[in-house]
Amino acid sequence: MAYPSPKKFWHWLKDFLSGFLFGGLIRTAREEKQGYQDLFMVLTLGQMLGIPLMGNYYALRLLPFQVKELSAWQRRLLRDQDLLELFAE
Amino acid sequence: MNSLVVLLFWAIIVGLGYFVYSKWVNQNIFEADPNRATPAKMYLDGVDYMPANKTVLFGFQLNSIAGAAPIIGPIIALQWGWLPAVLWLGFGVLLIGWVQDYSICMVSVKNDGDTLGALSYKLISPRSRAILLAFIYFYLLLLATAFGDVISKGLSGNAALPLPMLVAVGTAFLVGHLIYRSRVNILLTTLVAIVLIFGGIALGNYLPIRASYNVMLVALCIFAYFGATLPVWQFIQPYNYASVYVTYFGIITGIIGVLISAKPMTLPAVGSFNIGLGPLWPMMFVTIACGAISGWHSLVSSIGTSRQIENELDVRPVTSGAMFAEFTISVIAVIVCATAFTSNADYLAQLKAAGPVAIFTTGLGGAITSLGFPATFAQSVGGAMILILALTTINLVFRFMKVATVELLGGKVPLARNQHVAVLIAVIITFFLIKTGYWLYIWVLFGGANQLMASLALLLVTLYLASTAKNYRFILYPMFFMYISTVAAIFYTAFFKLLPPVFSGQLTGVKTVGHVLSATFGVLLIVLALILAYDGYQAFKKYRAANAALRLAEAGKTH
Repeated sequence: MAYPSPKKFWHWLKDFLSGFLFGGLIRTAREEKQGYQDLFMVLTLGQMLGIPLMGNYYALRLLPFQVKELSAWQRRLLRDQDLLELFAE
Repeated sequence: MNSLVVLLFWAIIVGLGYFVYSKWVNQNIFEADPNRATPAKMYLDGVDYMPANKTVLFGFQLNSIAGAAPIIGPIIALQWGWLPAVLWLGFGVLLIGWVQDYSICMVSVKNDGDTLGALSYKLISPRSRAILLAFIYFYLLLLATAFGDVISKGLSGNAALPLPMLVAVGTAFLVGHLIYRSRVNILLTTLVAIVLIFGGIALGNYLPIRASYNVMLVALCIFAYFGATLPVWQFIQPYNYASVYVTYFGIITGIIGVLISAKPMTLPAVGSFNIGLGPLWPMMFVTIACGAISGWHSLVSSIGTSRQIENELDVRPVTSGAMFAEFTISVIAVIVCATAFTSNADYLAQLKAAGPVAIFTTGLGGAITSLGFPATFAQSVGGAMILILALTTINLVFRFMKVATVELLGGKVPLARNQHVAVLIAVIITFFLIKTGYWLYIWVLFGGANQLMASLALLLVTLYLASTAKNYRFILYPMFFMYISTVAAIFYTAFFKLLPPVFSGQLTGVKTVGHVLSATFGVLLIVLALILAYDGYQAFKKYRAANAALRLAEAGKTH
């Protein structure tokens, strides 16, 4: 059986504490950022979700910057949301 | 008996459970495969589906599952004696507790990160999802009632505690603002929070705030309202963050104190079989939930954790590791309390007069004092720790009840769609139940709703394993045990404890309403559990028939 070295233990402790102490804080920050991001995407590229928006020209100019986000954004907004997901906060 | 013997038992259970049993199940039943893609990798979206390192996730999982319940449950159960409590904690976690946390997470990982609700819908029946929601609603309502009473009693019973609580709430707003708006360094913010909270605890004894139970209860309701309506970043999240330091200061100093002082267990190993709450079986098995097995963990494991698992091999250290860590907290709670009182009569008198908070305050206070801290400060740390923890639960409960009320009533009553109205409805029901109900029975019903959720989770895993033609027996028998014990406990509380005083005319006024209301909740839980059992059995028969047909077809192919 290999004994854990102090360096390994230190890494383990750092990871553990970052999840234990900061996991929730980081998640909240991410959710808030995601909320603004989703709102922006809906306002600019809402057509892709079936919302009739007028500004297609500007949407097309923004499209290259948002291509990377598109599939995750669509999946997030269109998937079934469960009431229980509140517990993940 | 010396308390170190209990620690030896703890070490054996953890060794056997984590290093032998869970390893075997992981390899032979669920066949964890490091190369199979997990939902976090398949649906990466930056928030919900997000792969995380297993150690980070272990920390997050432990923080999510360990609240005040692993401490309060065992303290109440000490009335049956500390030996049954320790044995149930040990064998419960070994044979059922970690199995549930681990396997429900694994099932969710193998099913695209589905929540417990979605899994019930798929594996049992469409209506089982609604039953699960009802279990959760009752669970939260009863939890809010039990904790609301515990907090109001704790605050009005000890004048040194209100100030630390006020300081903790104020600190939470400050921390939220510093982290999320002013973007101050997290270490500096943490330092400020720790100084403020511990300063508050130390000052509590010099600036006592005396108020009656009713005043504290109203204050708590106002707190619950704001907790549920303010944005998460502004209050709940920073409060949870700041509270961790008090909690774990208490737990770590408690552990060191227990090890250093190595006191003998002064409470009797085996108390009375039949106490005020009821007989040992089935009542103890719902009174001690967290620490042995808790349905709450199945929610956490199947929602947050399963969507962040990077690799199937990580499920075992994250979920069963966190469960064994929580078991440790419960064992410590038992030891601190069983060594703190001079006699059983002393313990019972305190439990009756001031509730479990006072018991824990005395117990943990004793352990911390043996490290050289002043006795008044040590006791305040014990009290503040448990109240701060209970308040984190209250926050979550009302936030969920707000959304649930909007979902359930919003369609029919447009006014209920307003979040303030929805919170007020939840607060008023809870307030009414606290004022009219008897908290020990409420605690049992809450434990019942929680353990029914655990039975549902175990049923889901059984059905999943049956549908994939794997060995399901190791989870089937624990499920039977949990299901029967829980239904029996709820039945006993409703028909032998809550209703007889109503019919014999011992109770008058609002207390009658409280007892009838609590008993109705109990009966509803039993009816829902029976429907669930029927649906579960039908689903089980279906999967078994499908497997038999498949085997027959395969046998046909070979001949």
